[in-house]
Amino acid sequence: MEQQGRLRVLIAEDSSVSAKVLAKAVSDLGHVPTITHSGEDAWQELQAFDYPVVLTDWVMPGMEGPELCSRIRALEGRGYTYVIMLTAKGDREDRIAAMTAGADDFLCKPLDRAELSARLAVAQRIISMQQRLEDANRSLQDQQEELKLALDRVERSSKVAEMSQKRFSQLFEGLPVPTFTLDANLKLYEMNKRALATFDCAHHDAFERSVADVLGSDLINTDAETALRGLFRNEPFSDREWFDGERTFIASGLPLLGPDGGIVGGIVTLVDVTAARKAEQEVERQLVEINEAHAQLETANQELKELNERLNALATEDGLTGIANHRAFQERLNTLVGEGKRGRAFCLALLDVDNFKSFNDSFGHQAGDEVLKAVAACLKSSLRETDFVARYGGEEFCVLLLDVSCERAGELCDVLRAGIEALPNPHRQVTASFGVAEFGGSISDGEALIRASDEALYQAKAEGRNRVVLASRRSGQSAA
Amino acid sequence: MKDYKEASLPLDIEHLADVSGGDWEFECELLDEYFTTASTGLQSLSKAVEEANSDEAHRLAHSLKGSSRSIGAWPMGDVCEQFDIAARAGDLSEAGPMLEAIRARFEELERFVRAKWNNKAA
Repeated sequence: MEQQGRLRVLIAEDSSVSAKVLAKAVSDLGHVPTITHSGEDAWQELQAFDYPVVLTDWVMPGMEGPELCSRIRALEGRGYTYVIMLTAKGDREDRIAAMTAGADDFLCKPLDRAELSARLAVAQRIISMQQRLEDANRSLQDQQEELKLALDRVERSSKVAEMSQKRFSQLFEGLPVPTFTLDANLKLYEMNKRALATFDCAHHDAFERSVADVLGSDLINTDAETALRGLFRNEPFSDREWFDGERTFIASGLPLLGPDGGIVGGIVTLVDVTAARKAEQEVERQLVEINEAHAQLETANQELKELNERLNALATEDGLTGIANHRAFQERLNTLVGEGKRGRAFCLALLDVDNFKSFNDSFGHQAGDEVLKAVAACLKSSLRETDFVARYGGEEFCVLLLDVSCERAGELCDVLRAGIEALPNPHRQVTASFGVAEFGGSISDGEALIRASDEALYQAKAEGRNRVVLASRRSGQSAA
Repeated sequence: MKDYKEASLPLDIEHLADVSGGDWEFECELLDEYFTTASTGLQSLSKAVEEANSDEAHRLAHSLKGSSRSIGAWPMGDVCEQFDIAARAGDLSEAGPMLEAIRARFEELERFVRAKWNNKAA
């Protein structure tokens, strides 16, 4: 506001001589005086310009000193105005009135320059203090503003930090697997509830102790430590299998980054897979068992197949003679009837061991059975591959002769008949009678064929046995 | 503070020099100003007495007293004060003789200053 040490001093003095004296003194003291000759003029000047010091006479025409002083005090929005009242009056009451009106100091008339100098020095001190106070106040206000903004920021930041911390804690504590954080020295920082439970320890036990101490050096072996140290070189790891002698864990780790992006810690999760590993082993063991059972089943199936085949054979084979039984004959016949209808030639020969009943009666059933076996064997060995021989029942046999006419079948049967006749026998000679019929014409099904053969056989028996009779001709060939 | 009542000279030269800061030119200027305003003031005071306007007389006497004491004209200041006190009280009964006394002091002062300043100037 002022140049260093120079005050602008407004003088209100009705006596021009006194005003001049004051102005001269003020000027000689290095300050800048402005003279007004009445309270009103001084008031106008003060409203237009800012004066830090006002020197005012007490008694003036019109507005007097105390009134001017009151008005100055009522002014707002400017620097402090230091008012010095000029007075010849030494009265205590007057001084109190002036003070009440707002005067800061008094100066006795007539003027004493030394006194003025001292009063102005005080004024200067007060004004500069006032100035400093205002500056300080402004600066304080600015600082308060800044502080308030900073506080707001801090509050917001701390709220964000608090929320982040809370969220991290919730996540950390809520993780359903054992989880811990650690620092670069591999000292534990936090363990979540699962981790504390899994490794059977309390928070205060774990805090700032080495990971290997708390979790055990079996689990945190050299490999595990290498992985943990890697976190602080920003090398995350995952799916490592760590084993503590009893339990198997799948370990995964991540570096924890601070606000400046630097690594401030590591977080590690351990998933206990002991049960899963046990289950896997159990599954493997069961798989072996299943394989074994499967192999056994295969064997059993094989056996069953064989048994089935055997059963099947039993079902189609004659137990005594080992050739096809009646049932197998029927099946074969049915098949051939189908083929015969499409033009295939075939004949059926029925043969009966002659006088078998009396043979049995004479030499016993066992001897009879031997005869049947021998006849069957003879028939089997004498026939062509394509022909079919079966035991029809009792001492009757049947032969299906393929791709031949009735005559040719008769010739073949005669060979069979001769074969039987030539069979060696310890008891007596065995012969057989044959009835042969050809499929075709009126003989259009199996039943008819059997009936025709049977009739021919009956005829052969009637004609004297040991012979072959062809159904079509009704004539027999007697034994040679 | 000077005990100007003891002073016998019309003008306390030391005081004048003191309030002028030893500036002789300013002393002259100040004395010129004093005599100009005091002459006018005295005429006005006479008029106020004629008109028996004690308020105006009081104001004029007070101002004259202040100017006189400002330059160190103690005797002149004293007679003005006496008038001032009476006028303030509304008492103009002794105004005539008082005014005469003021004029006498003023003329005395004028003579003193002319003598001194003519010497000084010379």
